[in-house]
Amino acid sequence: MDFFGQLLVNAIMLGAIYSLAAIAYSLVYGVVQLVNFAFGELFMLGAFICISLMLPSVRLFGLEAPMPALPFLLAAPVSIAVVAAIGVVVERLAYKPLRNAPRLAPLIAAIAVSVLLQSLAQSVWGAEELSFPSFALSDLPPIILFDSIYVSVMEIVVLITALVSMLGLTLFVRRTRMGRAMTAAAEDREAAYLVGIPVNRVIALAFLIGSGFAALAGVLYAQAYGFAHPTMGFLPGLKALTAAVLGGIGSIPGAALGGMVLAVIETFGAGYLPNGSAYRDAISFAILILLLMFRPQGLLGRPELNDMPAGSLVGMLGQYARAGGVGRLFAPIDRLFERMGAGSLVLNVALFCTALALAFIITNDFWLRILIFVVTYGLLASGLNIVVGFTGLLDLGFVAFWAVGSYFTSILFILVLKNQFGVAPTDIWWLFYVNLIAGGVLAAGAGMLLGYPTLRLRGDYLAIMTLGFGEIVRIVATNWIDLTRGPMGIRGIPTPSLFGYPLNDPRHLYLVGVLLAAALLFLLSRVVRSYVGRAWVAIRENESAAEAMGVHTARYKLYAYASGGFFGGVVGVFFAHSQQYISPLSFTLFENILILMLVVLGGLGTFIGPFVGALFWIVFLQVAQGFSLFQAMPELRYALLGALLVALMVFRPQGLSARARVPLSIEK
Amino acid sequence: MRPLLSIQDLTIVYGGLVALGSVSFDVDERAIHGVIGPNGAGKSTLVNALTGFAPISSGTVTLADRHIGGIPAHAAAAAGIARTFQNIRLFAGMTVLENTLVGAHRHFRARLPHLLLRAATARGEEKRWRERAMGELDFVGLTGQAQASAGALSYGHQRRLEIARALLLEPALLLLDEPMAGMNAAEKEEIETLIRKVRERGVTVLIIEHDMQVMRRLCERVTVLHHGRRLADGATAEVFAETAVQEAYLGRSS
Repeated sequence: MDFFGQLLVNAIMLGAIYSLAAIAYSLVYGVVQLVNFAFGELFMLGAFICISLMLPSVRLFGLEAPMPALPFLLAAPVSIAVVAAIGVVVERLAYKPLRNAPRLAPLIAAIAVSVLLQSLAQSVWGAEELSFPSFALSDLPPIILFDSIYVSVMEIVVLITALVSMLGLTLFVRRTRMGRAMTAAAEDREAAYLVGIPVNRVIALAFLIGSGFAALAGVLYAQAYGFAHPTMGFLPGLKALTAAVLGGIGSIPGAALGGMVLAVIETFGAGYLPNGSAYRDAISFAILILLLMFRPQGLLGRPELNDMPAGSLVGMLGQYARAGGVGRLFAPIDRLFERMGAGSLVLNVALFCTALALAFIITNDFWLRILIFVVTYGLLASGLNIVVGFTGLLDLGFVAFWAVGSYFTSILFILVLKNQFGVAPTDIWWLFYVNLIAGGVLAAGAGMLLGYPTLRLRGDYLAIMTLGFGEIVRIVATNWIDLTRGPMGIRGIPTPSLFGYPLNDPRHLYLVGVLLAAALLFLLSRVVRSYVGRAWVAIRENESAAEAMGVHTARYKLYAYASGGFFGGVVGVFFAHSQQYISPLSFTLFENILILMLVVLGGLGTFIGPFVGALFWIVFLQVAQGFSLFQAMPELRYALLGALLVALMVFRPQGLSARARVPLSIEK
Repeated sequence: MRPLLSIQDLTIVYGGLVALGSVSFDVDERAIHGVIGPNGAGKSTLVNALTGFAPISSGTVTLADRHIGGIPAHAAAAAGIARTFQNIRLFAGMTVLENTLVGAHRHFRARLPHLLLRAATARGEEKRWRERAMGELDFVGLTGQAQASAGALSYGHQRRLEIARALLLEPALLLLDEPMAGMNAAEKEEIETLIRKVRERGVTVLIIEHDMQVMRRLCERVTVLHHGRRLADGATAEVFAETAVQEAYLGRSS
């Protein structure tokens, strides 16, 4: 009873915070049908700003800055107001220009904003925790219920604040002119506009209120757990999104209910299930996935939210992007890539030879290692590009396939053959080559398996579900210690070798990578330049028309997941053997987002794009190290990537090498 | 003549609203069969139901004696029904030729190994269907546009491309959902000629169109829908002469 009662109290507190953040997602989704992934970061900013205001001084950008040392009850509303303003600015700059763009554009922009804000926060406040200062209310002694259940005064404050703000919002939406305008805009934006509702102001207001709620949730969360950290918004953000989906995204009472239900399930699951606390996040994601599979409209939502208008970033060129001066800027790049994309054999062979020649031109091991990373990430991006670029399905769980390949070969080589059977890895050098294929096939199978439940989903829901899968795979890799050695990772994976000749220096590894890339792209081009590739692109451009032309869209989506998974698996095997060490840290959502950004940066639906993106980004990462600004704040580079991606979505959604368009048939 | 398509008591209910109520009619082989009716009569619902885009509540649909009621859209295409859309749905990011080739999707037989090795079977069928696609583009009047981007075509050309794409399915039945919407008289006449040529190739055509002049000239038979019910069905001249039809659709005064 004591344990149960304490869990219940904890669940209600957590539920209040989830509910507040879930309302942010729901409110904005209701009005603009966008899952604003950046709410997790606004949540985090709320916490940081509040703490900063409460302290006498804070280290900002590595410098000690004086702060007003406000009392909590003043600092909290100020930080909420600041974050609400940031939310509106983000909407204006990143989402408003994309209002008539294909759904993928604002979704990618939201992910980019999320990266931007998180990296910026790391640059400003540093990568360490900032602890929450104690204040009058938090110092009061806890209230003891039934002799054994502890409830702090602040917990009661949290609950009351949450209840009051939800009630206030409900009254606002129901009773005021602006609130009713919001309901109308949510129902039908165009019709609302036609009857004279200032839709842009209504949307800005939704972002204002939503960001405020996210910040409030962040402040309460940081207070409850006693700290703020730049990545603290990620998991609660996902939980809040889960809660919003659970309640029925778009519905405010639904979000409140969803937050509570999720917190109860999660808290009790962690409390009572064996090894529950290790898997508490996995429990939430499993709920999210089951929900999207069987009842995507949630508890109180409406089913029609799971749809996506036709059109793609590639096909709708020039229909919304403001090319203008920026367009001219890209003209020389376009001319270059146009020749490349035409698939001229001479050019491709020249490109391949250049890549090989680099191994001998560059004598510096450091830069050769950088090039290995370029090839690895280029290949990963190529795999993701099959799913996102060619088929138009936003996949945020792609790293799972990379992990499958890496773990497969590492477990086989080290944990099974070496540790169980005493086989020396050098004796079975050939197994690496077998594993390249076996790992690819295994990951392709995983791709189909994870792809199957997503087939009915589109747009945002698809992205959320794949994200859930990716996270579950990572959580399992971290916690199933018997299988994967958990966070310690697996060491001593042998480098590739050929007939006893070790290929262990960076030059050899780079050459192996280039050959692998050439082989995979060669195979991919044969599939893409056939009826299969046409079916993929047809699905991306207009799914219903593809279906009407006889394309079994579900089957071809699975083929795309399988092909992408194959790439991921093969690269995973190569990665494990070239790094000689793997751990779950390589397979995070952030990596997945980074890979996605490389595809978008380079050019969706092209062969060369993923490599262009990888080369551009990884070389930039290194070159930037030479500047003192980036030396002091390395995360600023990722903030720059986020900003670049937002700009790309607004001005040139098709990426750098857009003109390297792949012909979808054999002969010219 | 034997009917190619036979619709029996087709009923479609959307959340309590009867979009089609017990509609029955036959479409003869190699006919040009019109479906007319005021807005909201259920014409597009009918096309959607025949092509797997709308769930059927009850009734049967047979194509050449094969039951096709309620099959998914890709299966309807595989059964030999091709369609165009009221609001054009092309693959904007593909070239004109690639768009057309998607129509041939169901004819491709090469498996993954054939594709990877670019075996003779894969090369051969790709070449064959490219040639066929070029032929269809000539047929609809898009000669020389094969490499253009589909999104960049003019409105009229987009309509023609949709028809070329549908023809590459080699359908037994072609459903045209308002193929002349938004066109001037001259353009309409060109599409009319095109539809006749399609029928001469042996393809049965079911067409929805609002221009009564065109329909009177083009169709051998028409079915009139009104509020989801079949109001009339028969030879064009007879149907147009019925007073009920005139009242419902053409207005009382005429």
